[in-house]
Amino acid sequence: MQIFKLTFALIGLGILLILSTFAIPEWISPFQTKGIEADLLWNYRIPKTITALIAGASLSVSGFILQQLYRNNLAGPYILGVSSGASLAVAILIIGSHYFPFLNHGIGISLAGFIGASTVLLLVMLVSSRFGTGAVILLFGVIIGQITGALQGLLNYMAAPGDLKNFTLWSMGSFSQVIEFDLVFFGTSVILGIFWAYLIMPQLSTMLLGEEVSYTLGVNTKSISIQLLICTGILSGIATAFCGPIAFIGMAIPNVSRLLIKTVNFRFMILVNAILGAAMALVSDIISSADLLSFNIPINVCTALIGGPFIIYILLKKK
Amino acid sequence: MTMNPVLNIVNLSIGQDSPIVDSINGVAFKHDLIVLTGENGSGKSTLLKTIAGINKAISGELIISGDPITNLSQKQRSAKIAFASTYRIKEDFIKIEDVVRFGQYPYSHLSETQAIDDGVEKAIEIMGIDKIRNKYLNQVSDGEWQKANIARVLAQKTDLILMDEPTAFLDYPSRMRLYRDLKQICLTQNKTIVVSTHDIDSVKEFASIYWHIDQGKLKILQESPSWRI
Repeated sequence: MQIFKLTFALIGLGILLILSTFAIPEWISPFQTKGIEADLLWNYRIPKTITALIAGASLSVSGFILQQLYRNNLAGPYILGVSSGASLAVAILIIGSHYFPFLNHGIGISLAGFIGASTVLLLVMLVSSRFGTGAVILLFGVIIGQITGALQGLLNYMAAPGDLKNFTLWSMGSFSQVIEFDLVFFGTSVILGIFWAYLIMPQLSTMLLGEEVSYTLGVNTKSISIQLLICTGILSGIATAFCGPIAFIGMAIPNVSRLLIKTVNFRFMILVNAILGAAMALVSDIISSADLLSFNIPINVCTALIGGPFIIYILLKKK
Repeated sequence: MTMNPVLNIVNLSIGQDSPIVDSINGVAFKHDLIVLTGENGSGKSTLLKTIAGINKAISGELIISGDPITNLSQKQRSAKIAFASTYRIKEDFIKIEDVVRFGQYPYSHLSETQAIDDGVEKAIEIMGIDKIRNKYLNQVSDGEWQKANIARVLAQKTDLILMDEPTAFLDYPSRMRLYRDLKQICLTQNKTIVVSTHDIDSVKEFASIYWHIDQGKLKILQESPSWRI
């Protein structure tokens, strides 16, 4: 039954991949080898589709880890302020790039994203160890988001006009800025991050019994929590560095996955989350580039319109 | 041959920085069901968690089946001491059977998967939860959840079982059933169980040893402590 659902999800993902690559906004044949259409296909659409695939998988897996670690179904990299932390670090890097130009490339930006994300994750961990993992950490995340937003606003005044436009577009979320080496680097880091998380999922699942019981089952709960935070830092930090802070995928998809598949096999859940996260990112990308309006709708507008109502449904269903 | 005690507590002091309870001495043998009583905040949970290895002792010694606990790794302890906390999970994606399966985690690196599965099946049979094994935790009562919890510690195959207030959310008949189950398990499965509780009335029939914490000291009694609740 689970395998059947997984196969179904994979077929859906395949259809979305084809739509996003070849069909939207207009059909380009995959056999086109010359001319402007081939150029568009190979240098724009294919990298964009792959970026969406990787970013969606990475955000939803990090959302799943955060929700399980903090036993809070509304947690996610965006609401906990992790994406904002990554954004601020990347903004400092981009806008300060006159002073340290040697860092202004894919790896430098990823590193900044990772550091920004991990810093906030560390703060969230400290807050949760004192005040619990309920509404407090969500509020804390929202406030972190506000503070980093304010700091970014200040940075905008110092930015060169060209940088400012790039930065503003980036902060609305975009899958179309990652090409060539950056794309390979992005893909490799996310695959490694997901694989690392995959390895320690059995330990995380024992924490369903509470951290103390998990410890008496022989799980080094401290080490596992820290490893998971590093994984989340890599996954959400680098995804934010390359695609901007993208909302709702990391929060909504783990809930969708739990609705569809009920299991304590968290390794399987990681795969489900990766597939569904990629699918949601592709759907957002398709809506974004489908030429519904006279301009490309920003990715964050799409993810919010799809994910927002779903989260409200989850919230209301609980009571 | 003299029998080694399963649990031997020697001059133990417990607490965070300053001791809540000190100079604790106590011995528990196979087939003992020990009832740990005391007021809220007297240190019942802290004592159980210290024996389980979750909290560090301030001073003194804990000897588990002849081995000082400090000589055992966390992994080795997990095959000797099982602990059930007051934490109650109600997730709608966890089945009763999954809870029991978690008990086999300390053995999950072994290749004899058949033997491990047998342990889970046996635990399910002992607790009589075969009929509800596929129910999700949000569909079961607190009594059924505690049965699964006990089956989980049985699947962990330890000599010593520690349970922190398992009857806290149960009604009177369920409490009686739970204590009867624990007594049965002690005798038929050769276990030693230390269970903390406030509930002296329903445990009376099944217990013969009481460890009562009062004003920072542990007293060992042969009958239920005359103690105001």
